[in-house]
Amino acid sequence: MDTIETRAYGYFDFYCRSFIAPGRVSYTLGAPQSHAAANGAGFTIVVGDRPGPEPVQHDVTVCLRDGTLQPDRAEINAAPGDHVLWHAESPDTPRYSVCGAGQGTAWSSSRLDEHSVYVHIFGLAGEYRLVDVASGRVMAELDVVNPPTTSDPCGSAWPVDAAVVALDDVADRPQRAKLVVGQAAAFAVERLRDSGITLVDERLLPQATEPRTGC
Amino acid sequence: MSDIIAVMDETAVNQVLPVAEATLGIVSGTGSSSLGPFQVQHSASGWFSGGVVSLFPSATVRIAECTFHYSTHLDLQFDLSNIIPNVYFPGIKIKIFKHWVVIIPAFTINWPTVSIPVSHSGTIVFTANFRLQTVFVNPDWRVNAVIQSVPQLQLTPAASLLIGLIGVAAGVVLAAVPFIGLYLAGAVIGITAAIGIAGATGLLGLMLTPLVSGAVFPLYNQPKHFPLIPAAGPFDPAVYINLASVAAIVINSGEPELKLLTDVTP
Repeated sequence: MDTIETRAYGYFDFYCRSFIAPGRVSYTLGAPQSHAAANGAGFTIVVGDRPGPEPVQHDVTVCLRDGTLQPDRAEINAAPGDHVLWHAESPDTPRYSVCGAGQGTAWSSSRLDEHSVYVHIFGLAGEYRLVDVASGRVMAELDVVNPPTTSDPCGSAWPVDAAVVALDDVADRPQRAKLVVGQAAAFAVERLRDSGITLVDERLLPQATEPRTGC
Repeated sequence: MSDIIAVMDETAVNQVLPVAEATLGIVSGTGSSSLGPFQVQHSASGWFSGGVVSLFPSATVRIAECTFHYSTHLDLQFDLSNIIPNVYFPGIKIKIFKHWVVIIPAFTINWPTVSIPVSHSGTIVFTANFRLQTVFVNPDWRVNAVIQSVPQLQLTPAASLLIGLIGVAAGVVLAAVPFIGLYLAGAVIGITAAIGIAGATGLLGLMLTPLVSGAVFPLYNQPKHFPLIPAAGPFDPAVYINLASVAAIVINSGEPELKLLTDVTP
């Protein structure tokens, strides 16, 4: 089973966040429960005053160095409208999350909002029901199938297009999509009801207890 | 001249053979070896049945058409990268709601090391010459048939079957490897091709030949000290004798016979 969740990002997960307002943003990398222990120490994104001609993407590779998760560069200089993409250095990099504060807001890669995108590349076929942990609502239902088998090991059959799954926190029905193994899905928030969507594969959640009946 | 001479013709020896096979019971062995890109942990066990005995002077017993019923289990371990090349994810651009474009960088997927367990059972029929061996294992004299040379085992049909089983097992195991879906067929073909009939035959031979060639069929077992005449009453005790020596030979006096030559001491 593929591990799909925004609480902790692995090698086949990518977190992207756009920065609109000028100012200084600090962020930490680590396991979700470790961010508070960082106590403000972290890494910096400096968003300048003037936007560039085109929004630029700044890539950050998350590495394990000396037993701690660190970005490959401590500071990023961005322009308003630019976005930053975090991704793990290798399959051995521990799963991580990104927590930031600045420009009057606090954010986390765990909770997707209108300024963030979660991308996952599917490696295994199966049916995936992705729920928002806070509300318990099913946000997306994905059917991932194997592509036609090939004996060609050169990768010519790699599906290069991605599926964009719009997360609508207000709609009644979950988004549905069909993908093939090797294809990327980008989860972007279209409409948000609360503070954010924590997207998790339903199978990773503790089994809901049956409601008690009788006396 | 021996004190006691016991004689069995071929018919009698053929009647002893099933008992000897049952007494031998189940033989087994374990080991590990390399097979091309694979590391193989293996175990095998089996038992014998059937066969037709012929006797040849001076001490040869031929068992023809003997059936060895075997069960094998092997665990193939290998780095999948040695079978199929690591794959390259080309990187993509994703347009999100018309207002921004996310670029996923290219990366390489290194295949993991996997383990494929395979179980296989079958039978092989062989013919082999055995020599007669007489040994004293306190407190008994034993006459065994010990294989003379490693018989040629016909393993090609079993090897074909084993290759098929490995292919099926590989398909099941590899299906759980992320991204293998794109290359599953190629990986299974690569694995079975890397082993090949020759490799599977060699592997089966490695597992089964020691079990067959190490077979020792117990034909005769007699305590060295035993009562020749049992006790007939409180004043007529049993008469014991000692078997000082036992020898087994095959002679041909018109028809081949297995002779047990025994010297006794009071």
